[in-house]
Amino acid sequence: MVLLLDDDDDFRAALADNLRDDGHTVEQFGCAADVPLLTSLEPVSLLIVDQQLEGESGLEFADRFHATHPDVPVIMITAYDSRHLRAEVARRDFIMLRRKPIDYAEVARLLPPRS
Amino acid sequence: MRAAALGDRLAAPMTMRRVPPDPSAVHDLQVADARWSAVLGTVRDAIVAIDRQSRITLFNPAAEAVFGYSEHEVMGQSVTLLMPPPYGDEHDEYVRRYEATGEAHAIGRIRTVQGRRKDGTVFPLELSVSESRLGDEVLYTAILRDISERRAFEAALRVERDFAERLIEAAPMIVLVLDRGHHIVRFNACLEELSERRLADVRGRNWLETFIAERDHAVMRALCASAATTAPLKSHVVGLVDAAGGERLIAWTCKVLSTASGEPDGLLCIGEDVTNQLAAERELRELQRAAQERARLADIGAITAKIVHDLGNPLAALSMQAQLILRRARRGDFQPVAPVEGPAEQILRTLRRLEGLIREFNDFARDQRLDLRSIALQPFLNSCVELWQALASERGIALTLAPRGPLPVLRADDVLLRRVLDNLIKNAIEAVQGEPGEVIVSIAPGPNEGRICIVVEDNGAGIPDGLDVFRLFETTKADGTGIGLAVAKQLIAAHGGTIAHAARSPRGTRFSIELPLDGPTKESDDGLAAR
Repeated sequence: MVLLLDDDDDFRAALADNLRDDGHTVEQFGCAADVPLLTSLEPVSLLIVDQQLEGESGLEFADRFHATHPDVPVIMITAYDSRHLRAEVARRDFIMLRRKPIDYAEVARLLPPRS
Repeated sequence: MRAAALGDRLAAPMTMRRVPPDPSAVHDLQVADARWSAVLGTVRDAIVAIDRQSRITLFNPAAEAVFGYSEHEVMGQSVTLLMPPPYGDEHDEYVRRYEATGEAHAIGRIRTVQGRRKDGTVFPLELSVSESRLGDEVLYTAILRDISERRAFEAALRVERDFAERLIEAAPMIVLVLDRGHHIVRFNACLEELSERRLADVRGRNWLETFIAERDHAVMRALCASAATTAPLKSHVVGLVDAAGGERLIAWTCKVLSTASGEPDGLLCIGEDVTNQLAAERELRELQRAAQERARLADIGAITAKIVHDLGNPLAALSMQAQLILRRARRGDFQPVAPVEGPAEQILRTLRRLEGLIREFNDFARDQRLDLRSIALQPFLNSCVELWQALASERGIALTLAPRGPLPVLRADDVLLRRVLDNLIKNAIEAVQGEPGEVIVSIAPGPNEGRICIVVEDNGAGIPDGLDVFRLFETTKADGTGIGLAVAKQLIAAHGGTIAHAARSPRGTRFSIELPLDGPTKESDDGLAAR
């Protein structure tokens, strides 16, 4: 399952469509507060999270997620990258930072083969 | 008191013969005597006559007033009574010498000597002496004029003149006097100092040719000509050339000098050295302009950040949807594929162009705080050049890094400096049209120690005059945003450096970045820290 957090509905829907077309299941949310208890989730193969979210930031969520899912890669996406964000991401080897718009092929490379 | 009758003394030798006088001659003599007495009594000059032994034989009322002696006090006394030492002694010696040799000291000339009044005061007087001989008798007649008042007046005048002179010399302004033909008559110490010329060396010369920068001759001629009119021109700032060829900026005002009868007699030129003042004003304007520019850029930065963010999301959604269409088309969801695949690819290409623009805006809006590191210039420049090597060779352009000895270590933000160099190299490559194109990156020592110059030059189309390429949104490229160089300038300024460009011969442009090797000082860093 791909866990997808982004507050932009259009983008989130389009990315989810791409993922589903590839045969992946997608759980998508507009903000971190909507995500159920992390330990109760189905097995996650990839987290795609936007940095700018209402409430808990993408980075905070990614850290929390990493604590329970240390082997799952994270793609952090952002519309506006700052040096601060890049520095923060650079300290976390489990996160790959991508600026919007993103290339779906890059996302696909991090996913397990289609089921 | 009546002056002693001259006749009494002149006639003395005759009366000694005891010849009965001729009545008509006596009458004539009496008339002459009366006239003479009137003259002696009314003349304002002191008249003193002495005989061969220097005894006073005549002392008129004016002499009494001047010396303070009455006639009867001095008659028969030595004339040295009226002289302060050492004149008294010298006088006797002059008379003896004159009698012996005929060598006159005082006779027939007007001399200025000193007299002594009865009260002992010594005063200056003008002296003329005549000699009359009647047989063996000699009569020396002295006309004496008390010039102490005149002297005092002259001294007062001199004080006044000296004061005026000192004022002119001490004035912190140029005072220059020209004759009617505009030749130099005189000038004060101020001009002497500024021009490094001495009056003696240039007196009589044409002043424009001597002092004024050639380009300003016409302006100064107009200013001089207007001085005589009812509405003289306001002061003009023109260049003053000194003996060494240096130049100061002077604000001149001219006024016609007139003779007592009102005829124009020359020109008075007053000049004030405004070089430093103008430089200070220019510096202030420059600082204000820079502050305004910084504020403007900060505003634009904030707006840009917002736009980048707000555009980024819908753009990302569009892109994702287009990618979905394309992937579905290629997977065979649509038949035939071509009518869908082509437009989907076109949408993605257009989106990539939009993305490129947003990326540039993002660079501008980005937080630009410096993260200083020590950068080894050689590998740094190598990697910058390598990045663009592919594009350059694709376009047939020789992109080279000119080798230059061992390169120093530079303290700078390597990410930001790389962004600047990327921008310059990319611009240089894009500026070259037609072959053989060349882009050269090189290093030169800075203008002073501790600074270094990174140069990027091309043989491309060049930059049109008057275009400030460092100004935000100024660009020579049809599809350029005009952001890259504005950002470059900001980033280099934040490093305490400068960036400039110059035309390259025979064609092309040379951009040079000058940077302090040790990184920015506190102030230059503050400029961006505020952003």
